Order: sequence, then structure tokens, then C-alpha cells
Amino acid sequence: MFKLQQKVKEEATKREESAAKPTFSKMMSVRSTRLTKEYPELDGSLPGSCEIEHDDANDLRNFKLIVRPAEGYWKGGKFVFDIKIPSEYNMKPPLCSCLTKLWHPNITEDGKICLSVLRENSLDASLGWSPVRTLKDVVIGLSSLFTDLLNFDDPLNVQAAEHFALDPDDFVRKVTEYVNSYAQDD
Amino acid sequence: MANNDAADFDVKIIKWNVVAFWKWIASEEECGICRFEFEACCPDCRLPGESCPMAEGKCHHYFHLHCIQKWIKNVQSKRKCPLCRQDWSYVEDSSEIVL
Repeated sequence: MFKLQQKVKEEATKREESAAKPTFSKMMSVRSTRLTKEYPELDGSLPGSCEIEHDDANDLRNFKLIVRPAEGYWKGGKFVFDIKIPSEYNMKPPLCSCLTKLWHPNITEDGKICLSVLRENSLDASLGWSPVRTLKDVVIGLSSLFTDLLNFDDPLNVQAAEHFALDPDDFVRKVTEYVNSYAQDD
Repeated sequence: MANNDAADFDVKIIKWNVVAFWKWIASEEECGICRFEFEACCPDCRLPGESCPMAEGKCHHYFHLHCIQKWIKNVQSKRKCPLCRQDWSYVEDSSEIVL
């Protein structure tokens, strides 16, 4: 009879032995198979505010996500996110940055993003990346930073959060100023 | 047979073909990590079956053994189940390949 516990031990030793060998080809295949499965799913379920652009149609590992928020403080803006799929995907999360300059408590002016699903190191491990997550979760997460996931209590851009706390009207003025200066169609 | 008069229906079996299939018994159809069916192998393997088995956790979540091993080996996973984020450990009793 097949014994799982025994198999777990066998495989653990086998893995250690083969760990020294380079496994580039394997990594490539894993990555592309999961991604190949994910794209059709993603195409059919993109939120209306989102669009995906590939600079190179053959390169599944690099693309841009364009978000045009339909509501909220950033409405009227066009925000471009750069998404890179690392070779260790889906054991590691995609690397995302915001290419459009904006005034936002969870995104810095130079594009660093604070979003739990993208976090590889999570303090309590109850959040953060998990290999059952998909590109769809990432896209929805990023686009929700302008709406549901907007969080003034856990800011990455502390100045923006403080700005909102001190003078919400002036915060909105600055958001709109940035939207008009940096987040318009070319 | 519809009537009880079986003697009138004299069947001689000349040949019969048996077809069997095997299946991993799980509450899910596919591995959430690689998105392949359990009856198919993980992306690192070529042949399905005992050489690329399904693993069950105490939280009753299922993955290919190789997929979950790859995840918990990753320090960042903190050895948590990818689905429910409870501490991952394998079920005590062995799972079987059911014919």
C-alpha cells in the first residue's frame, strides 16, 4: 500500500540530493505552465477599470497594468503599473511598481507599493503571498488600492497619510494636482 | 433479468474486457499550487501516480507532494498551508491510491 509519511521522507532526501544540481530548465517550465494557464483566466475576468499591455507579446513575464479608477480620489487618472514575474514564480510573488507618480498613502512617489498579497515577508504569515494566489489576485489588489484597499492607517507614504489626517481637503487638492500633471493619457 | 425464468436465457460469455481507472480521493480536483489535476503529475515530473503523489495536510487541504514540499522549503512560507495558513503537517494515516 502507498504510504504518504514514508513518501514524504523519501522525497525530502531526494530533494536534498538533487538540490545541488542546476534546475534552470525545470524552473522555466514550471513558470511558463502556470502562467499559460493563468492568462486566459485573467483576460476573461479583468475589472472594467483595468487593462493589460504587453510590450512584447512573446514575453509573458513582463507586462504593464493600466488602471483607470472609476471612483474615488484618483478618478480621472491613468495609472501604469509595471509587473515582473520572477523565475521562482509562483513560490514568490510578482514584483510590482507604479510608474505613474501619484499622491497616495500606500504607494510612494517613486512607485513602491504596499499591498499584502505582494509581500513575501509577512510578519504574521496570515497575509502575504501564497502559491495559490494568482495574477488575477494581484491585478484586483492593485486596482483596489484606489478604492476598497485604500488604507490610511497603515501607510507607506507616511506624509500622504498625515496630510489626509491634518487637512483632507488639501490632500484631495494635491491628489488631483498630481492626477492632472502625471496621470493623463499621453 | 426481468423474469425469473433464467434458464431460458442461456448466455455464454466468450470474452470480456475489464477497464479500470485510478483516482486520488480528495475534496479538490486539482492542485492549487500548480493548477494541474492530481491525476496528472506536478510540473517537475513526467509520470503521474505513486512517483508524484498527492499529499494531504492535517487541515484537509490537498496538493501534489512535490508542490507543497517546494513551498514549505521556502523560508517565507513559515511552513503554513497556502490555502488556510495554518501550520502545515501531513496527515498521520497513509492515503491510498484507490482503484
